[in-house]
Order: sequence, then structure tokens, then C-alpha cells
Amino acid sequence: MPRSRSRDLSDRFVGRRDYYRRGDSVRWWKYALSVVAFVAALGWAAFEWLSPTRAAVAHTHGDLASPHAAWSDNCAACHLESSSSLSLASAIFETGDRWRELTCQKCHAGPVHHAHATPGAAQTDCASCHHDHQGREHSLTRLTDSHCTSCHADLPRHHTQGKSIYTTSITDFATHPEFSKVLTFDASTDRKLKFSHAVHMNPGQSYVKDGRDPPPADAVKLECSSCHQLDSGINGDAYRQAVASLAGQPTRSILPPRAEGAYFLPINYDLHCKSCHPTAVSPGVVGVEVLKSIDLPHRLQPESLKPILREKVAGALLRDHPSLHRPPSQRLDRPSKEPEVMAFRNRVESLTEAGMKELLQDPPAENSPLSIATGCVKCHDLNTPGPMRKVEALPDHTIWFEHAKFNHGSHRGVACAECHTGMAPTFRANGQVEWVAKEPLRILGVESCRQCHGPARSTPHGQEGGIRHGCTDCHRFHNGDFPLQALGGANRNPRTSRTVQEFLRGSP
Amino acid sequence: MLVSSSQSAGWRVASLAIGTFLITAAGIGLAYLGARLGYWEWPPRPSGPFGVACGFALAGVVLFEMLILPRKWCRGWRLFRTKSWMKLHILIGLIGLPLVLVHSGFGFGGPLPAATMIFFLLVTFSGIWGLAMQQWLPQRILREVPSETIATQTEQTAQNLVIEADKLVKRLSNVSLVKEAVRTPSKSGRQAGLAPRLEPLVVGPAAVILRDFQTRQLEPYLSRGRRSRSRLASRTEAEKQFQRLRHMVPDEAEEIVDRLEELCDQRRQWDTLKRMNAWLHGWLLLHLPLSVAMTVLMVVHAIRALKYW
Repeated sequence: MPRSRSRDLSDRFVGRRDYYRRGDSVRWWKYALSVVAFVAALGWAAFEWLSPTRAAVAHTHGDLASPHAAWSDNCAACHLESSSSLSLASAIFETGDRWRELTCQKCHAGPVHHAHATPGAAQTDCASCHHDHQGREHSLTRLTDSHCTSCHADLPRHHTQGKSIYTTSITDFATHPEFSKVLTFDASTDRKLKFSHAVHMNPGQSYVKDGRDPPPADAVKLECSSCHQLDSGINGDAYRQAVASLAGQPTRSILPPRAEGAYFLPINYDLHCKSCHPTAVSPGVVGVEVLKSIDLPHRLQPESLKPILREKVAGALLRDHPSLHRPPSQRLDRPSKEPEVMAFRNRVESLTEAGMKELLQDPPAENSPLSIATGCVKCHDLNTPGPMRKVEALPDHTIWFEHAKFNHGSHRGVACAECHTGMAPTFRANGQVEWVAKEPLRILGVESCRQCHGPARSTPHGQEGGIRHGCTDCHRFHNGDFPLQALGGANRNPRTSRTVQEFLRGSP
Repeated sequence: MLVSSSQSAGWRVASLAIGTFLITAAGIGLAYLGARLGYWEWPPRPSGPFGVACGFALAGVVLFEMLILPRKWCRGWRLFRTKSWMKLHILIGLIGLPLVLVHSGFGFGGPLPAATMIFFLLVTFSGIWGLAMQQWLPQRILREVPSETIATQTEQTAQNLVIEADKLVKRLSNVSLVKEAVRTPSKSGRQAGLAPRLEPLVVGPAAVILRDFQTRQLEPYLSRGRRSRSRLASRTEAEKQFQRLRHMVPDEAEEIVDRLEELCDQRRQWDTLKRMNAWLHGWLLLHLPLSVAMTVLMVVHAIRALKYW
């Protein structure tokens, strides 16, 4: 009887029918590798937990930015313990929020921003915008546009009043509106200084095309940088001269030792104007030949100027009338009745009044550009008519666009006139220089910025744009209304001062 | 496990790839839709509510997938049908793919989350690979290895071939053994049934060559297969060698030579079986250890994330 095939097959395993109980190589390796993997994974976990350095690194989202690198292994320097105010569900599902309670303001005190934002719209904590743990080279202040456009794309929706005085929808620099200063600047009211760049940029400061008196070969030719300086040059002659000219007045407010080159230093009368336009009363006008030109201090209102002028007139008269140099014959606290003294007093008063009148009188319109007058009204507006008129205060135009930041130093490669047009002299048909007492705003609008800042594009003139054009490249969030204030704004000082060691330990 | 026994292997593998893609796309699409409706942000933040929820779901997926291990260890308990269990293992494993992508916010994160995610992806894709192999190789084994045996036992069962071959060769060249009645099934299943003789069938130089062939070629190959580096591993070469043997031996012995060739062919099939079996089960060498490592790292990652992040 032939054997069945299945019997043949089963006979192969005679004596080993329990083969399935014994491991084969695949099974052995499978479990052996699993054990190795299990031990290796546990080893990794143990290493990450037990190695303090490794644990500090592993328990973060990434390296801290360079300014915070000193606290890379000190979480408590910035983070508070997990808040007990969070519910269990929030603590589990909002894991990120547990560590959003930071102590940034230990070092970075600053004013709040967007007080009128609807709840939830404004980023209330620093980490909403300043994302750390993104690597050493990550910028904490250069943010993506989405941080801003999340609200500014539809501003009324995120404003407590449902509306805004600002442009209500900005999504990127391409949709950025014209600068409000360009749109709203009214020279007749906003200009407080009578000044013509056209006149001053003309060689020799002549006022007709070929020069009424043709300027000499060495005539002064003013450049932009003759007056507009980026650096204070604190060690230069100009600075020392300016300090000396202040005659002891505080220098801090008018001559900041700032050398960052972002903004031009304020135009300073003593440095830039006085050489041609001294504040002085000329003898000719006063009509007293004995009086030499009387220099007067700047930055004083007429009411303060008048006693000084009186004193200087009296001093000048006394120099030329030695007979008056004698002790008074009576008590000093009583007005003298002596005729000579009375006459002297009246003369001083009349000369003072004449001098004040010269200082405050409106110059003839047709003569204005030609006259190197020395009075206040030559350049300044007076607010009220009358004997004691006041000089209008000049606005601070060190920064024109208060809500933006601009670095002139970074743009030094471009000619000034590319953005500030209308500075070169132009002439009327009769040859007279084209000038206006109150100049319009000499800053081009946003389109001039877009030539370089914006997406790269081809134009008939060639390639344009491509330079960065994010919101934070021009705007700053904190204390933006005070662009001349430094980092941290008005509240830049920390709550407590620390030693270096305390600082490095992140002490509260 | 076959995806569909009524379809071709190609169709099954293709449907597996397409199904994986569709499940992943559907999961990501749902997450994106939720973000568009304002339920969560996009791309999802791993530490945000939705990201954490996905993380929990993913942890559930992983733990369920790992339950297949105790299920295998305790197969005697018969906790649900093996086929159903495997179906769930595959389906839920595939659902884990979009979950891990959404949970991670399509990023890798730090070293630990990155390693966990990479391991998860490797485990998933090795599983898909293994499943694809199962759609294709078993049929091929049936086709190409008619003498299929238990793949892990080929080395042991090959010793039967060695013993049988030794007996056959001795019958040809040894008088004393010729008298023994050896039942040897032929290719057709019939018994060879040689009549007892007093004279050996192969004598002289041919016997020497035969013994040499057995010692140098046949036994090593039958015993160790391809690893013996024998020429018999090649079907063509084997046919040549056995043809030479047939010319040397008398006609009466050809049937025994045929049987020896059958044994070699069987050994060759088992080599093929071993190779296919390695492809069929080798992915488990990656799948299981990485699953274990990934599960440990996932637990560490979850604890750390919930405690520190």
C-alpha cells in the first residue's frame, strides 16, 4: 500500500514534532532586538533625566536666543512654576500655557500697548510675539507679519470701540497706506520755522539765478550734511564749540551724545544758524552810534529777553559814558531822582524798546529772503500780536514718522534728494529763486520706500524690490508713540537692581 | 493577512498603498477642516489643545497596537478572533499615521519627539511593508515551492534528505546494502522497488566518482543548501552533473539517480522557501523592536511633555 504524501511530509518532523515550542532564529532575533531596543530606550530616558545638562536642554523647545543664553539651564530665571489657577483639563490640554507665565518684566519693564484692543485680540503676554527657544541666532524682535495682521487686517473687529482712527485693513506692505504725515501735513500751520532749503542750498546763498552780487569763487556752498548730522561728534570741535556757545546751559537735551546714526541730530541754532543769523540788535536800527551790535542769547521768550537787552544796553552806554561810573548818592534800593540818572534810564528804556521792536517786528515780505535779519521773526512765528508777543515753540521734527523707525545710517548709500525732493534751488522766470517761507513736507511717500522694500519685481527700469518689508522692520510695538525713547520705553528701569551674579542667576 | 482573497496580489498591494494614502489624507483633511472652521489653529501646535488631544489619541493607538504582543503570548485565551484582532491592528495602526503628523504639527521637534516620531513612522511603514509582503509572497511560495515545509525547520528536515541520499548512494555502490529493501518514493509517488542483488550496480571508477560526488557535492548541499556554495545550488549545473552520473551508471540505476536529483531539487526549493520566508517575516525584526523602543520613548515623551511643556 503506497504511503500517502501527507505521511511523508509529517515524517520529516519525526522526533521534532514540538518544533513550534522551540525558538527559531527569526523569533530569537525579534525578541533579542526588542530587549535591546527596550533597554536602549530606557537608557536614553534615564540619561536625559539624570544628566542635569542634558535634562535642561531636553526639556526645552530649543536653544534660547543669544541675549538669553546665560539662562539656558535655568528655567526658573524666566518661567514661573505652573500656575495653580489652571484647571486640570487646561493644565493637560493647554500645556503650552502653563509655562507662559514669565517674568520678562524683571528686566524688560515697559508700557502696555493697544489698550483699546478687545479681550483676546491683543497679545497680552510677551511670549505671544517674542518666541524664544528658537535657536541662538533667532531674533526676538523681528516678527512675522501675521503677529500684526491678525488684528490689523480687520482693525475695527479687534477694537473695543469697533472702529479706529487708523487704517482699518493692512495685510502687508503692499497694502500699506500712505504715511499719515504725508497726507495731513499742512505747512501753513504745521511749519513753525520759516526756512527755505532752496535759498540755503544756492551757492553763496544768493537769491537770484546769477547772483545779485555774483558769489565769489569761495562762496559757501551748503550741502545737506552742513547742517544735518548723524553723529554728535562729541569729541569734535563742533561739539566743543556748541557746548561753549551754550554758556553753561544744560547740554543734555539739545546735544544728546547719541551716535547711532539712525536719526539726524536736531538742528541747533548755535551750530547751524548763528554764524549767519545772530540774535542781535544792530546799532543802525537802534540809531545810536555808540552802541555796538548787541548779541543776545537764543531760546528765550521776549519777556525774558527784554531784561537782558536792557542790561546789555545799559552796560554798553556805561562803557561809553564814564561819567556815570560813580557811586550813587543815595540808597541803592530807591530810584534815583538825579537828572543824569533819569536821562540815562530813559535812554536805556527807549533803546531797549527800540531793540525789542526790531527783534519782534515782521520783516517786509519782499525783503525777507534777502535780509540777513537778526530778529526773532526772521525765522520764528509769534503767536499773538502786541508788545510782548511770544515765539511759537518749534515742534520736534527729529523724527517725522513717530510710529515707525528709520535708520538714516543704513540708507546712507542713497542720495538724500532721492527721498527728500525739492531741496535744490529752482528759479522763477525773473531769475529770482523759487522759495516759500513755509516749506511743504520734503519727504516722499510710501511708494518711494516700495522701490526697494517689497517683493522683488521686474519693472521697465529693471529689477526692483526684494529688500525685507515686514511690519517690524519699520514699526515697533512697545512705546511706539515715543520713538526717541530707548528699549523698554518710559519704564525701562527694572523693578529691582541686581548684582551681576544675581542677574546671571535670574534672581527675582 | 490577505486584504482580499478574491483579488490579485498586485491589486491588494496597490489598494493597501492607496488606502494608506487615503486614510492619511482624510485625517489631515479633517484636521485642516476643523482649523478652517476655527476650532483650532493651523498648522496644529503640538502643545495646543488639539495637538495634545491628538497626542492622547495617538498614545491610545500605540498602546492598543502593543496589546497584540500579550495577545500572542496568551493565544490560548482566544481573546477575539485572530483575524479580527489583526484587522483592528492594521486599521488602527493606519489611523495613527495622520494622527502623528497632525500631533507633531508636521515637524520633528526636539531629539526625543523626533526619535519617537521617526520610530513611529518606521514601525508603521514596516508594518505596511510586511502586510504587502503577505499579499504577495504566500501565493508565490505555493507556486514556486511545491515541496513546502515549515520554513524554520528546513535545516532539520534537510537531514532526512541527507540520510536518504546516503542510503541511495550506498545501494548503488555497496553489496551489503543492496540486499536491504529500501522504500524510496519516486517522483511519481511510486515505489522504486529495486530487486535485491548480490552485485553492486556501480563498480570501479564510477563508484569512486559517485562516492566523491556524494561527499563533496551532494551531502554538503543537501545539508546546508546554498550556504554550502555547492554547484548543485544552480538548477542548470545540477542537471548537468546528474546527466553525467546517468551516463556513468547502468540503466537500472538511473531511477536512483533521478531520486537523488529530486532530493537536490527539493533542497533548492527549501532555499527559495527560506529566502521568501525571510522577506515574509524579516520586517518583524524592525517592526517589533522599534515598536518597543517607540512605546518607551512615547511614554517618556508624554510624561515630559505633560510635566514640562
